[in-house]
Amino acid sequence: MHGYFFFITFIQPNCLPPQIGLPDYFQYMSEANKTFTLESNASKEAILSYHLDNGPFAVIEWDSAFRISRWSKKAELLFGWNSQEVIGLHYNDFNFLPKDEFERIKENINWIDVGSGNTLIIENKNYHKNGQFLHCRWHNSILRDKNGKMISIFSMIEDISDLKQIQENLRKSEERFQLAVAGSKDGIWDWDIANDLAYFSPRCQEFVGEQFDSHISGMEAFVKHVHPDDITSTINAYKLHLYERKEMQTEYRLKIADGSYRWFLVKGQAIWNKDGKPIRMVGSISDIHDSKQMEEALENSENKFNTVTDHITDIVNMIDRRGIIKYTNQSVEGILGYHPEELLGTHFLTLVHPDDQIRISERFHVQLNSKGPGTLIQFRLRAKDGSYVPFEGIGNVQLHHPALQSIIMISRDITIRKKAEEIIIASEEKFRSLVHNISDIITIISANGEIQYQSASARQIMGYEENGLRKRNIMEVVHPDDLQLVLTTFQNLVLNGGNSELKEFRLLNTNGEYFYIEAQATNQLNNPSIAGIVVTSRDVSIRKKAEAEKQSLIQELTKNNADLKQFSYIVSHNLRSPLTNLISMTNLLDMDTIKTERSLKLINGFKTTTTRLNETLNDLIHILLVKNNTNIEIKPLSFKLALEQVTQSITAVMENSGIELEIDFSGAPNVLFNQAYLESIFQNLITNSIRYKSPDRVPKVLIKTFKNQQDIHLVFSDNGIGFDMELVKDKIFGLHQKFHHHPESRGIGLYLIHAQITSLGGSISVKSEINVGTIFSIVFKQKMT
Amino acid sequence: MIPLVMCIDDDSMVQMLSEIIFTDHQFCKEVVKAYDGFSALQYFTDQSKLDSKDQQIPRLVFLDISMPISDGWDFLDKFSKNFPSMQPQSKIIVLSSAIHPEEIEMANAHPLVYKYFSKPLEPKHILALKMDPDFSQYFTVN
Repeated sequence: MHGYFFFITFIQPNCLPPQIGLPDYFQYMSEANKTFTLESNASKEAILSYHLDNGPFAVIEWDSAFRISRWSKKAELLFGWNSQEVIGLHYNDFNFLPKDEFERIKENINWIDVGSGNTLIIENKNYHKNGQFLHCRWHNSILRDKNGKMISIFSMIEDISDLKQIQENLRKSEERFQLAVAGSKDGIWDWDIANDLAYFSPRCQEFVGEQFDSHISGMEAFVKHVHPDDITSTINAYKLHLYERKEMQTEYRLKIADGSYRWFLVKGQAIWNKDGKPIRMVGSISDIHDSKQMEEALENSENKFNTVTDHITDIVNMIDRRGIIKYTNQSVEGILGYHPEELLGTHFLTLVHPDDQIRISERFHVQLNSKGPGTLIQFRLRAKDGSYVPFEGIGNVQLHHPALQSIIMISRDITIRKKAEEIIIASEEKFRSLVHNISDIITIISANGEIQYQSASARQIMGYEENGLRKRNIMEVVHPDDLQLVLTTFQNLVLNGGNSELKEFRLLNTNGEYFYIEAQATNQLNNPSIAGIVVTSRDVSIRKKAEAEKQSLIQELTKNNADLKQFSYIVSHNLRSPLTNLISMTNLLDMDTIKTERSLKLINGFKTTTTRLNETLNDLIHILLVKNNTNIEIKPLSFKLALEQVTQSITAVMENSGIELEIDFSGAPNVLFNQAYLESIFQNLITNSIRYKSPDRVPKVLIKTFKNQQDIHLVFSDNGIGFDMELVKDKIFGLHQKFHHHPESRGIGLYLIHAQITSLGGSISVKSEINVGTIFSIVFKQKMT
Repeated sequence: MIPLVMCIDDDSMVQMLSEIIFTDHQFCKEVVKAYDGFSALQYFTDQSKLDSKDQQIPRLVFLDISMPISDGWDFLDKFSKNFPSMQPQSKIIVLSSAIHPEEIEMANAHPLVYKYFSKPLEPKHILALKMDPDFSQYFTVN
């Protein structure tokens, strides 16, 4: 019965794995199916057994308890056990499944129990009876009854051990090939000759600067890059290999990416089919341009060689393996002063500077064992006059070259270059010492903010050693509050080039404190010798601190000043009211009732003192107003009118004194000033002249004005008693500086006009001589700021 | 009574008041008035030219500080330089209306200053001086 189910299930296409060999099996089973329908039940089993035993696969049938119920002949062959040994055994009962496969098998069994699916293909390892591993692919078909309960499992097992091995080998070989292709300096090509499809490795494509599509490119696509002169010889080399199986190794010139030609060596190996027809060819190409050129140079005739070497400025020597000079070109005469023949047969080391001899000798012996050109080396050679000349040379070992059999030494006089280098070094040192000695920090920053260089001055200011911040990002040491500004400025500079200036931002020093700097940055990214942003920064902490101190000092002073003014007002006003009372009282006193002389004297003194106090207080209030008046009206004034105003108000005093005024306002009739101040100036100066007039002569005053540049000058001179300049010095315009014991002197008039003039930007000075007179010079600033 | 006292002050009212107090307390026989340091020095210069028996050197000088032209400090400087011989004879008392503690300290610290009195001059000052051993010789009780 279950045979029926089995075939129905088995021939469903989805149970057929698409692996190699299965189409054949499918065909076979279809035929078996046909046969099966014709026979009786009993013979059905016999026929099935026969077919299973003779089919391509090993077949094992398991019952519902996973015990073996069928073990085909092929199974015996594959696993080594015969059917008698294993029928009725559970798969755990003998050494059939490796332990590490158990878990997987269990999972699959669960799936069989629970699931409704009927096919299961798994690959796993099995043991042969002799203990060997087998890689098997199991095609499991689950037979179920009408209720879906499992009856048995039919497993058809395919040995895939060989396949696995092949796959593994292929993978490894493919990997090796890929590695070889990727790592090789040579280009690799692979040509499917039958279809003319060629694969060219990336290196090949790099050589010629063209990309090839390996699905459509033929050999022609590459050969077109071969130099026209080399085409025929190349094709011949291919033909000889493909049809006469001669070794394929030829040289040709390829047109490379930049349009020039370079020499390449091509090697190849073809694969032929059994008919002897080439089907595939694999090969490599390698760049041999440099060595080819060297050879070409060497292959030139000696004559040509001499012609060339004698006309170049480099010294060309040929030295044998002992170091003996075999040949020297003409240049040696120009540079070192020796005739070429003089040097023949001498050891080259005798020409080398003693300090260089060991180094050069070592190099010489190392190179003896190599072939071809060595590396550049610097040394000094002794000239005929005993001086040493710096050279740079390269040796080319050609001891095995049939024509040369020597080491060719090409040396170039580098005196000029050395000198230039020295100058550069000196200038570099100059720059360094400059950088070391200046207090500015010089920092070179790359475009990403990384510090490339920082001068030694960073130590004094920031505490970092020279280059101590190297490789760190400048933004790490910028104060967080300044970061946005610095970053924006820096980015703008990187993007737009030019210069930027940053006033005041904070950087972190090694003590963990921030300090203020001012920086100037220049974009030198495009300058190859700098390739960075050059930042010159200066510590401005001290300036910053001083500014802050100044600011707070000004604030304090302003406050003090305001307090003092307030105090002065209070004092003046509070004094005024009791003072006015005193004045009223002295005026009301009836002097006739005072009889004693002593009392009379005292009361008179009291009256005088009170009057003086009143005057002093008025003066002080007046000064306060001048000092504090910020809203003084400035307008053009006539000197003449202002003077008239004053003379009218003090007519009586002037007439009493007999003073004579001489006026000359023609030089400057008008002035830009404050009217009250100008009148105050005239009044104070005139009363001053009257007060200090000489008792011996008629008081005379000369007032003169004139213009000087922007300003207007006023000169006021009198012929009074004058004063001793030595004694007075700079005190004359000070407060309460009196210079006479004149009863009316209060020492305040000059202070007042001084305050008035200077408050409007002008100045006043004085000259005096005892018994000759006094001259006041006043400058009125006309350009108000 | 002290034979001669000098008052150096630019304020004539101060001079007058001092004179009244001196008279009331029978303090001195005579007063020399100087209105600034300069004229006070001039007095000493004039005296120094006389024979010593004719010289009239004040035994006591009342000196104001704030004065025009030549102030109290100026007087002290020049007096100490120019008249060393008269210094033991003439005791100087600074009589000032200064309210700055600095100025008072400066005056007290000056080697030539005998005492410092704050203005105004009062009878108690005079009484104290009469009791002072340096001057008590002039005030013997008859």
